[in-house]
Amino acid sequence: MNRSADTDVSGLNTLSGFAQLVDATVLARAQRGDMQAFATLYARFGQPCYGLALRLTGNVTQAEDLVQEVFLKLIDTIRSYRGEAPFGAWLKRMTANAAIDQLRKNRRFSDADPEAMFANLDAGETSPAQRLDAISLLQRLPPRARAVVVLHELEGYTHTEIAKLFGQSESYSKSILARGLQRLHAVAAAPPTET
Amino acid sequence: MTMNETPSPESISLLRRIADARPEPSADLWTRIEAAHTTRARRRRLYRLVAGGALSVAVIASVALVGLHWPAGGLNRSADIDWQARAQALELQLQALQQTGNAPVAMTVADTSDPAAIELEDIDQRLQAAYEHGVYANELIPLWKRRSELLATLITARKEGLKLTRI
Repeated sequence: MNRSADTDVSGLNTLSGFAQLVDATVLARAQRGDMQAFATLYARFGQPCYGLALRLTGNVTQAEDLVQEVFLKLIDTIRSYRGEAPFGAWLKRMTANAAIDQLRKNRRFSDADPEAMFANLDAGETSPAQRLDAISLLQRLPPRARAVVVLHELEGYTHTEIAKLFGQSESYSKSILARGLQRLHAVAAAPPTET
Repeated sequence: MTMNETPSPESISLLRRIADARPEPSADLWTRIEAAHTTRARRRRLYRLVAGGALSVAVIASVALVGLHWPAGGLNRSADIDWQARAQALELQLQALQQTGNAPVAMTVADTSDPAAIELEDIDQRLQAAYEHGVYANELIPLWKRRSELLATLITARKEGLKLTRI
């Protein structure tokens, strides 16, 4: 990769999120186990990684635990990264997979049935403070529905990919997405309640 | 009600706000990750050390155990020889020698003044006892080997018409 004018001294250019490109020397140093190189990678990818984790889990503590898990795994597996996909895309997939694994571990009875998953949810009243925090509105969705909405609508995953991640059918993914969006619409359109 | 996968304008606006949000993790998260990595690396080193030590102990114990059950002479090709069959063949050879009269009549296996015959008798008794006690087959090998050696010595002596006084 040629270092361009918008590339800083750390070897990473100034694109945002997972789209940032990584200089080959930083990757090579990380692949040799140089912790300073991992610190550089974290400085650039820690935030997008945490943002995705937070959208998927809806919980600050769980999201930080997930980022920790992902970076520890990155330290272990970076030698296997051959550069077929951009580094950011590789890390994003690792983060999404770790979040889905966690969701699958905490499986609930209703998770197999999209209708049951959305049953008994409250009417969706939101305070003005909640409405300002867009991510907190995602918490109004059941965990799996939140993950499907985020992966499909924000991260560009296909239903085939989501179905594979959850070990379910494509129609399961489509059904959860439709219900999730409907629920999100209800949350977004509902008049705010005074607290 | 039909299920629609297309987000409403309100949902799109909300999703856009979610996508634009840049939540920041705790400032000390990388420090915690580094600390977790250091702890994990230390634990792995310790595990490798313990596992390596355990493996070494197991190997030493195995070698010691094999050594206990191995015939005198250690790991050599003598273990591959069927000493029992050889001893039986030599015995037949000795008997044949005695019958053809190649050897003096007085010098028989049972000759109690012949040290080889005396030791042969002792070996036979030890073999008998070993079989009665059901010892491991590899513990019998030294006895059958010694019996073969004694019989070979006796055959040589008989052929040459010698009487053994010392082995």
